[in-house]
Amino acid sequence: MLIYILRRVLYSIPLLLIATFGVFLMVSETFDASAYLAQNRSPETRAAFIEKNNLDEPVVNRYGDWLVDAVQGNFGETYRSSEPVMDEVRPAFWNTIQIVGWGILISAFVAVSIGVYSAVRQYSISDYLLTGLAFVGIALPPFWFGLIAYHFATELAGWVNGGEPVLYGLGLHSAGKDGLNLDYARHLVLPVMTLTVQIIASWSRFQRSSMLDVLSSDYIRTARAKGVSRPKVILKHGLRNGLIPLVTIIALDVGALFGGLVVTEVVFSIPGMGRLFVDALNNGEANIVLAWLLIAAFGIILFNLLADIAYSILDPRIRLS
Amino acid sequence: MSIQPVSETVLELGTEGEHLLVEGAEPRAYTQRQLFRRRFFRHRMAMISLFALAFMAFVCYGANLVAPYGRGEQDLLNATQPPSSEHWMGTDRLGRDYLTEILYAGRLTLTIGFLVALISTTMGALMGAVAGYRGGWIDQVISRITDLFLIVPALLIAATLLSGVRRNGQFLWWDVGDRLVFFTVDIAFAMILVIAFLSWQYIVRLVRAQVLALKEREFVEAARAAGASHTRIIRRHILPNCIGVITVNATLTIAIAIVTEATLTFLGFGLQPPNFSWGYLIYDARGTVGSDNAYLLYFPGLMLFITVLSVNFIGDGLRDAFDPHGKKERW
Repeated sequence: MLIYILRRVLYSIPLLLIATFGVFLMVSETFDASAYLAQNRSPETRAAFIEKNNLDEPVVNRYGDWLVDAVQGNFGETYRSSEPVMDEVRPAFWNTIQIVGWGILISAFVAVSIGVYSAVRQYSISDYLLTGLAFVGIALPPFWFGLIAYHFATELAGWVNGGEPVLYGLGLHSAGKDGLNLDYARHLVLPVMTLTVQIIASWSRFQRSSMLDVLSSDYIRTARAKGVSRPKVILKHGLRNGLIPLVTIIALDVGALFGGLVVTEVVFSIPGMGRLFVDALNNGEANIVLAWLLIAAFGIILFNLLADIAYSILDPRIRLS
Repeated sequence: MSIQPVSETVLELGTEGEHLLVEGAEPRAYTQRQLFRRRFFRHRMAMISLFALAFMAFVCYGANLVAPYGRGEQDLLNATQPPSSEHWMGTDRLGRDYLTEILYAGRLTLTIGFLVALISTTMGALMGAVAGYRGGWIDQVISRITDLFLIVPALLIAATLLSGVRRNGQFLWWDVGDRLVFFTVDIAFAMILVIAFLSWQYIVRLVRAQVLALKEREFVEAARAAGASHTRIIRRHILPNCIGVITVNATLTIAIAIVTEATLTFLGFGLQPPNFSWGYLIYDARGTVGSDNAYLLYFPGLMLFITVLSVNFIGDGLRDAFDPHGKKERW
């Protein structure tokens, strides 16, 4: 087991290096901040800028320098305010972790419940209804869904609460409030819904089909035949095996989750990583973008690693091959 | 399921005790294509969706024929009027008929969706076929690159690339020693390339797996024994058998591309007037949340939703039609 994990970790390192080099190449080619200066400023300004940021060195050298610094937690400074990049990333990261954490927890729970329910009641009215809803959920553009949900929340407030908001669509806390309380929950509902609606829809489909596969297998029939109760067979024999394919799907979808995060934070003005990314792109802050994409690449590869390990624990046959 | 007689088979006992079929009741043989067509046409939601999508394409591309008003015609006295019998979807801030604007905007949305699917499917299918057929180090290289693209956050990479195009006033530049050479890029064109560049990876895997299975089959071996060249085997024997996987995936890619384009445009990295899409209309109407003008938000999103839903259902119908033994969803 340990050897398997070690092998997977070692395989991840070149993957991470290649991914970060690709990202560095892309950003340094499209974020040539000196191109601005070439168009409308004196040549000296551009030369000084290039000199200061070592832009005249070959990209491989710059990547090396950047990587050595980044490994030590130094992602350079922002172009505009010359603040360390990490000072901007840290608070944003904390806000984001809250949304993503709740999002993954809730979507995994809801999707698995829906999937199991649909599979157990295959071809029932509720199964058709949930399948139809899943098609709707997958086809809903998340950003539009967020805006519409926000609009309905304000309409709802007009009807039931005399115009006072019931669910907030701005930030994570009201001004001057903090901590885990009702105010926090009322801020979280809309963003988490926006982030998860598409994920729940697609995960519940996977869970349904993997559950159907499991439920039609021989050992389930055997378990029923020897007298194990139906709920116990479904949850203990069925669900445990039916969860295995979903683990891989969750890991593969982490990349898509980052995209959904950006949309959610922009729609609901949450000062998290997604907003930071959009602002950095708009302001041409290459160092923030690089730090961001490195963290994203790291997160994605870590999740894939965890999924592989979880997979091998759940299904020992994988390890041998 | 697959072969069905045209009419009820009536068995009659012949004089010598043999079974005879009534005239015209022989089981009819269907070609593969006919079987496919029958299965697809029987998929109810797919058929409805096909009509919906065809209708959508017709009203958008034929907007100059069907739109009730002229494109960009302003009527400032009638600005932000809610839907009425004169303006079915109301009017926007400048008094333009919103239905007309939406129909014209749909052209670019649909075009980007179709072109991205075409480019990325062609690219991906070719790479998958080569990887699966040739094997060896070529397969290794293609598969590793595909693995990498499967886990990248596509939307963010696309946003980064497009912001690069945008930041330089929609210029790309090339550094030639001491000076920069600029050339203009149409942002819609850039979007098609960028989204296609980030959505070919799924089809590679599917086609590769299919080709790996197919090349061991007897008919390929027979073709090779008969002296067929690699090109001929791929063209005549392998690719026709991958057509199901390719078509289904191309359909789903259309849906993904349309949503990606809308999202990028909404985030501000995509299209801008005068060439805009439904995504831009939503972006433009994002401030109407909570106001009476939220209809400006509903309609473009609804069009987007209907289009994506239709495309997904068509994909679903195609999958069932191409793969009669696969799991069925009854619709």
